[in-house]
Amino acid sequence: MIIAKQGEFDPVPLAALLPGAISLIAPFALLKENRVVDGIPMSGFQLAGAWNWILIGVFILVFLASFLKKTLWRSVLYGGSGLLCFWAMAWLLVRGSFLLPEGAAPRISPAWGFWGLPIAAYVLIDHSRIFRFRFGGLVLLTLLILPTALLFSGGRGEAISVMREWSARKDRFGAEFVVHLRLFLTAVGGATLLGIPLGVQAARGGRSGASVVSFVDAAQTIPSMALFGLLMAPLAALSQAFPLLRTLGVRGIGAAPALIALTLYALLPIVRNTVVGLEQVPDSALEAGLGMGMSPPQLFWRVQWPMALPYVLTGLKTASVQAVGNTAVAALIGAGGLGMMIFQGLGQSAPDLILLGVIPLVLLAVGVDRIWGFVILRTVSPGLSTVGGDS
Amino acid sequence: MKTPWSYRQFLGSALGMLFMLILLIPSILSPVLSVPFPEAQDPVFPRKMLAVLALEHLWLSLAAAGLATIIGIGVGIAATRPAGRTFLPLVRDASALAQTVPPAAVLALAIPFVGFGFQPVLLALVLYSVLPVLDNTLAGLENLPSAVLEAAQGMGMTRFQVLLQIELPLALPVISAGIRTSVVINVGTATIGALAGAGGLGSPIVAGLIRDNPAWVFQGAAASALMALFLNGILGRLEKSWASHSKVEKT
Repeated sequence: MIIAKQGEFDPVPLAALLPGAISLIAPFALLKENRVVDGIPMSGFQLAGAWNWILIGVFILVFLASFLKKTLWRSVLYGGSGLLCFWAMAWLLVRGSFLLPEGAAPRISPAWGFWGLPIAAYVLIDHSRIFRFRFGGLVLLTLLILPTALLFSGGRGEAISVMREWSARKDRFGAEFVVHLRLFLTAVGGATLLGIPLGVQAARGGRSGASVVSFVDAAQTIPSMALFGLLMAPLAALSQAFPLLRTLGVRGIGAAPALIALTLYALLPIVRNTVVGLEQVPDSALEAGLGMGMSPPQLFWRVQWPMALPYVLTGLKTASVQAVGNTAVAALIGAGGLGMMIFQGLGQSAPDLILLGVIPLVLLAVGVDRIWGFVILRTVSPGLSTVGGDS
Repeated sequence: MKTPWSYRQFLGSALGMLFMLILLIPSILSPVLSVPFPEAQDPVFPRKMLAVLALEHLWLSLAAAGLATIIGIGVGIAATRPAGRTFLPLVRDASALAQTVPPAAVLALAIPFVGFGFQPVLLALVLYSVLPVLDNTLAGLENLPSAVLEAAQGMGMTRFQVLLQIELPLALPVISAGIRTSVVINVGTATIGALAGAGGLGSPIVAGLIRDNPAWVFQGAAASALMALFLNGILGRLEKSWASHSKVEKT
């Protein structure tokens, strides 16, 4: 090992040690006898007990690594200690669940200091860049999840508050998750089928393209909750006037208005990016196509569409990620989905129930974002990959 | 240079103003609401005047956007200086990741830790709306023509002078677009904040949903939608005038 010369000191890992240290010193978790009581706060150090030296060892390792010369070793040390931080987070929760008082269903809830370790893990792993190879993301995901799952298996994880909430409503959780997925997929699917032709049409209209973009930009600023609210009254009136619509489920409250609002919302980035994507195709490319004797449909399918595709796909990505979050808000008007658990948790002041809704929601949003990122990387012609879309 | 207002813009603003007036004055609002909602017992939200709720909403959104602007520009500047440059990839990655998290989730996560009320919602709004300001500050400061920066250094300007007199003014249009995005996001998320007891225009929506009173829902929804449209329009015009200023400075 070569110690770095002055000036080569890497400050980033120290920025990871700060949140990590907060996890150890500040209240990491609350030990509760049941769902309602306040619970006893425990810091990371208190939970680790005799195993403290491991945590301190990891920290010293990171500190020493930041003085190393820029080598592969340093990155490996960062990545490894990042993984250790993540595993430590799960392990501390399991340790804590052994300290729980006797009771019908005692539980351990994460307190605010809990989030320091995952933040430290993120900073270290992101900075190490050792997982930046092909399918490196999947390797990382396996390395994060597999040991955590092993730690939690055999009933060791069942006292963690989110798990308690989950096991109390396994069936409902599954049902709400499926409802969430179905709502968001239907909305994005419908918006894609409507939005791309609309965008193509608007881009062909010449001047109307710009006004479509400005209309869409304005509509995008309307809060999702306001859009749900504004659609309620007209839909309720429609279903009163036409009993046939009522049998189809068109009412002021429920899945129908949510679906309509979600589709409208998802339309906006798709239409916008289709128009922008088609309009940024340089005239020279079109003229070259014309000069080669291409017919208008050939010109569209072989020149304009491939060149607009990165923009269109970026629009789909934006629409999908937004739709995941907006579907949660749609629970307010009775659409169901993960938002139901979040809002119920807010209503009952039950943070554990909120977490049961929020964690899968965030994972779903990040997952959808990553899947689209992968699709964009794979489908866009390499010559265009520098173009990138504006969301 | 001021661009003349087109006929459509004028009509749009006039209609918007008219709606706003109707919404803000209860004695006009009540008969207007009883036309589409004849069966509503109490068409106007009784707990607080809509004008007060609108002010609360505006204050919450703008205060959060102001704090987010200070933090976002500060972090953006720090990450583009020579000393902070090692943090730049990390800041970029973290900001991109955080932006995929739905605003409602940030709000829901903040509440168990900070409690119900105005302040936790403010905190959640600030956390989320830092991201567009930060992103745009980075984009604005990173994409400056190097010739301009070299010319400034060649003139003997200190780093601080280059930042204050060259970099920030040139990046201003991009940064202000980020601020506009953050204000608009805040107006939207603040509506959901009513669930956490933050007040504002979300409270008639939430109360209307609970009490099955569509007239209340409509008031809150229409007023918050108008507020978002107005703020977006006003800030957009400001941006355009700033952009034309910095273009003059560029040439």
